[in-house]
Amino acid sequence: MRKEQITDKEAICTLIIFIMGSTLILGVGGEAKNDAWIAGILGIVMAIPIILVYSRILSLFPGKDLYEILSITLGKILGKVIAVLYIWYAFHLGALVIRNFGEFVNIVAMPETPIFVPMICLGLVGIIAVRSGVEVIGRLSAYMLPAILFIIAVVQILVIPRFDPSHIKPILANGLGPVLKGGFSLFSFPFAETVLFIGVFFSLKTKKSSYKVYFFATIFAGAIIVFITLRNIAVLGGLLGNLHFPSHVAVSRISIGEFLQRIEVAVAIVFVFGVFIKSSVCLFVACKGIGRLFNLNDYRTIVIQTGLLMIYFSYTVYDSAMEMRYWAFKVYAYYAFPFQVIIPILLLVAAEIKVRKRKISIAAGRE
Amino acid sequence: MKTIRMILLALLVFIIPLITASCWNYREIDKLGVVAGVAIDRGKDGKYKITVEIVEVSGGKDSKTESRIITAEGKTIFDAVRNGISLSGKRLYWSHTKVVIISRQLAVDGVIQVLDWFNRDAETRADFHILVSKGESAKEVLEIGEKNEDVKSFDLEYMIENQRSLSKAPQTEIWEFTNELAAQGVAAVVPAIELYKTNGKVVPRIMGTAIFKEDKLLGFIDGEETKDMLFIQNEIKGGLLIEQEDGAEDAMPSVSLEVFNSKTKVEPTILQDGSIQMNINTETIVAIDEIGGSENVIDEEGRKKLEQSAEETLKTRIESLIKKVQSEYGADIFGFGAKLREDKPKVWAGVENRWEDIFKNLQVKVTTKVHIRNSAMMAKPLEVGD
Repeated sequence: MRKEQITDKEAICTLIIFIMGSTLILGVGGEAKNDAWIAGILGIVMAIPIILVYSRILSLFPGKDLYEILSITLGKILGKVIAVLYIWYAFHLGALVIRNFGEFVNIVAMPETPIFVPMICLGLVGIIAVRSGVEVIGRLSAYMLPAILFIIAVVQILVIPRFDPSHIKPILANGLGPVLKGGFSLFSFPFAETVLFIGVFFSLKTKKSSYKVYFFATIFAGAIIVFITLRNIAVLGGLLGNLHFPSHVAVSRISIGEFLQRIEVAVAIVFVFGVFIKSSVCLFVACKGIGRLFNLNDYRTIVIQTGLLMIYFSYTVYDSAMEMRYWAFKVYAYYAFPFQVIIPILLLVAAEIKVRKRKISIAAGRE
Repeated sequence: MKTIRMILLALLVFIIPLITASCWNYREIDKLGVVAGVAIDRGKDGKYKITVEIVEVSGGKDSKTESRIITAEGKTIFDAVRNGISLSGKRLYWSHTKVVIISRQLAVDGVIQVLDWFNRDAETRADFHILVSKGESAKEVLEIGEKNEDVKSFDLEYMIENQRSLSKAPQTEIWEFTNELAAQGVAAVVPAIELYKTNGKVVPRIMGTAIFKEDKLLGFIDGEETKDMLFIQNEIKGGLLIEQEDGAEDAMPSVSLEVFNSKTKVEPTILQDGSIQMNINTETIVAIDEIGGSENVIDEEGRKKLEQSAEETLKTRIESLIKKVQSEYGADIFGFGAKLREDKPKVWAGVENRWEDIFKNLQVKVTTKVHIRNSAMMAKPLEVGD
């Protein structure tokens, strides 16, 4: 089996799109109201220590993926138990992302089309991408990111006439509490979801790249999220927290002259692509894990099965859009905390001990 | 092996169109009833009565645009909208709607249900204009009266949009109304529409402002007062300032000043006794566009006098409007509370609950500045010889 490799640039692009993915359309920091953008900055600040942990884990074991690291550091049995947890997390997250997309299309564009149809379309493309491998996903992202950034920048400029700066004031009127809460929910969705990339970045070229990739992508994607949140606040004001898809409504307010309007569906392309990359990465990590768990030669043999299961699961995971909203903003942060923070930190500690021991034993062996 | 591959490939080719052409609800444009405008009244037994103007485009050599009016009733807005199907045969399509007219009675009862549907439904766009009918019925505004264009609602849209050079009615799109409803310390305003007789014809006229408190109509102010309100809200885009001869000894002749640019700043300050005062500073750039006499108001001295007198007039007008709104309506249409909340959130937190009372006795300090930029095409007034 040939070793898969992606360049740092491709890795950064994938990570940026992964972080922006569903955040762009669902909006973030609703609790903080007009201080949501501060919550965004806070989210980035909170995320920096944890991405240091992720990068450190990766750089201790260059060329090894999440599941190999788990079995090396925690031993075979415990490693497999934790691996199952991560497979579940990746699988579940992928399903949630696909469902977000389905709800978006269903509510905004095609209310009479069964929600299953857009989801299976997205899922099938995701399956193809994952079967093609992580290199293809990386290259796709590197191609698409400039286009995405271009669309975001153009929209940002076009919507300026609709800005009302007074919506942003007063800053921090409700105190720090809601902002901290919003910051935490941003930390867990989307920044710390990048924990899954421990399962992808085995393909990075050098040992040091993981730091660079994680840092650059988090700061960059974070900055875009903060900008978009600012835009949504300035356009929507008090309505922000009441909407399912604030970005979509903010963009729909664009009306330049009589002709340049109704471009929101075109802008949804950005979202489609973000969701596609995000769900593909989740599927990839899940498949990779199942492959390792059962000692398969190649994870590709189970992509189609897992992918289809993921689509079905996303179909049944929520009962309604209200439930999705409740889960995404109220429950998710706590549910994801062990996967995003507790296990990685324990893993890092175990890994450090293991590496030290190995060094000592190697040194002892030399004598 | 090869034939199996070919068969599978052919199958795939047939399946792809089925998946990609996901037109569950494909509709041809001539099967849609495109709604241009809608009037909403109270029907019998608390029902909603909606009157929609549907654009009908007939294609062919001499393509024409016509409009048709349909009235339907329902228990809710959406119910009434769907009941329209049984009258028009077409499903109404809402993405191109320009105006919503709400009847006075409905506005007094509250419009939150109307706002909600237009904001919530995925097909409607929240960016069309909302109007309140001054007369009893909103329906007749769409039904009766002459049209300039083929479609009445388009007329109304032009009327609203060209207010920028008249400034006698505000412009309110549905989403702005919704924002103001949600915001603290600001009451919503909506342009008023009425039927007006001129030259023996009845035409709709958009003039004046309907004042809301929360989602309920309180009353109207007229066109001139609307202009003063727009001055305070910093929403003036154009319009005229009129200096009228008042019969005094050294009075000015009547002069029309055209407003080119106006900026208003509202700043809350806390006085020494702890009460709140609003400082309203407005700066207006105008041009002399009409002089009703031969006195020279263009030279330095006359210009100064004219500027001063215009400043004085504007100041009194703004002050008297604020007083009127304070005493008659008590609704903060100028957004003073919102301004206070933005600039001094701590003070706002203390007065938030009794803002209505505070607004009624709020002190204001108005400073106006009028600057004359030019005198249009003529350098001097007309000379009147014997």
